[in-house]
Amino acid sequence: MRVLRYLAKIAPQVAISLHIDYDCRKMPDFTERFQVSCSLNAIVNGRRMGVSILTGDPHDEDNRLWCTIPAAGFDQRFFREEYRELILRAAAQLREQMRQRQCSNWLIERQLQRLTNVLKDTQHLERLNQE
Amino acid sequence: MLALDVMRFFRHIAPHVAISVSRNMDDRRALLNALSDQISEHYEANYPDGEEWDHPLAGDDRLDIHVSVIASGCLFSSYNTIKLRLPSEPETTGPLVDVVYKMIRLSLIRVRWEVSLAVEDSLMCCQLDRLIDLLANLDQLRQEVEVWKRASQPES
Repeated sequence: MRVLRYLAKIAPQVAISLHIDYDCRKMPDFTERFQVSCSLNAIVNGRRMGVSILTGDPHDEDNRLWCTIPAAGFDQRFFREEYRELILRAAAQLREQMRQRQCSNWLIERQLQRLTNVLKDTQHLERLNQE
Repeated sequence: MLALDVMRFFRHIAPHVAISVSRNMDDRRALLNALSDQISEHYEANYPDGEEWDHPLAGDDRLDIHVSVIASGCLFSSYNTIKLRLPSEPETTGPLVDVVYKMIRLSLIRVRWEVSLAVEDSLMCCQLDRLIDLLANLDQLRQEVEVWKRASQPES
């Protein structure tokens, strides 16, 4: 996905992972929707830090790191709006985790900020998607 | 030279390389331990003429060494387990500590090799190369850690 490659270029020390699977909660029609989950990892001052579906509160709908998308017309090359929201949420959670653990690192903070800025610029993302 | 000081020094010069050394005692690692034993047995069966590791520190305790880096948005990691005779109290100097440093260096070389094959990330390669160079000469490492410790202490 072109957008993810671009994000890896502007924030090389932040690992973004989008995992796409069937939405098994919707049995027997589980093939109608996909479940997408996001995780973000960084190594900050020698410590591995990360956020994922496992680290978040499953009842906190506003901050959850997963969503569902329709399976029909799915294109793995296209960066969807849902992915953008998941990565933005994950970046905010990682920043909060660093603040809580009192881990400050200029490079990682800068790269997370860059990620956030690019993801908030929807026109830029649209251009990347179309190219 | 305290092991803790060395780890702090590593974090200072290579803040985006995660190195962890831990005593492997729990059952959660049973699968990895079994795999490690299987690989050893396979090696011994297929290379009967290979030199046996009769190091005086060989034993049945396991020490895990994990090295992780994130380069060009990808996570690279190396896991090693080594069987040694570990003392009940952690040692901070001596031949055991030197063996552990050598194992850390091997793990770093492996990760460096994987990174260079897969991506181009000069920052991570520089940090890994610096650690690999430092660990090549443990006497020099001890000196550098002492200098860094003195320089980083607040003036009284």
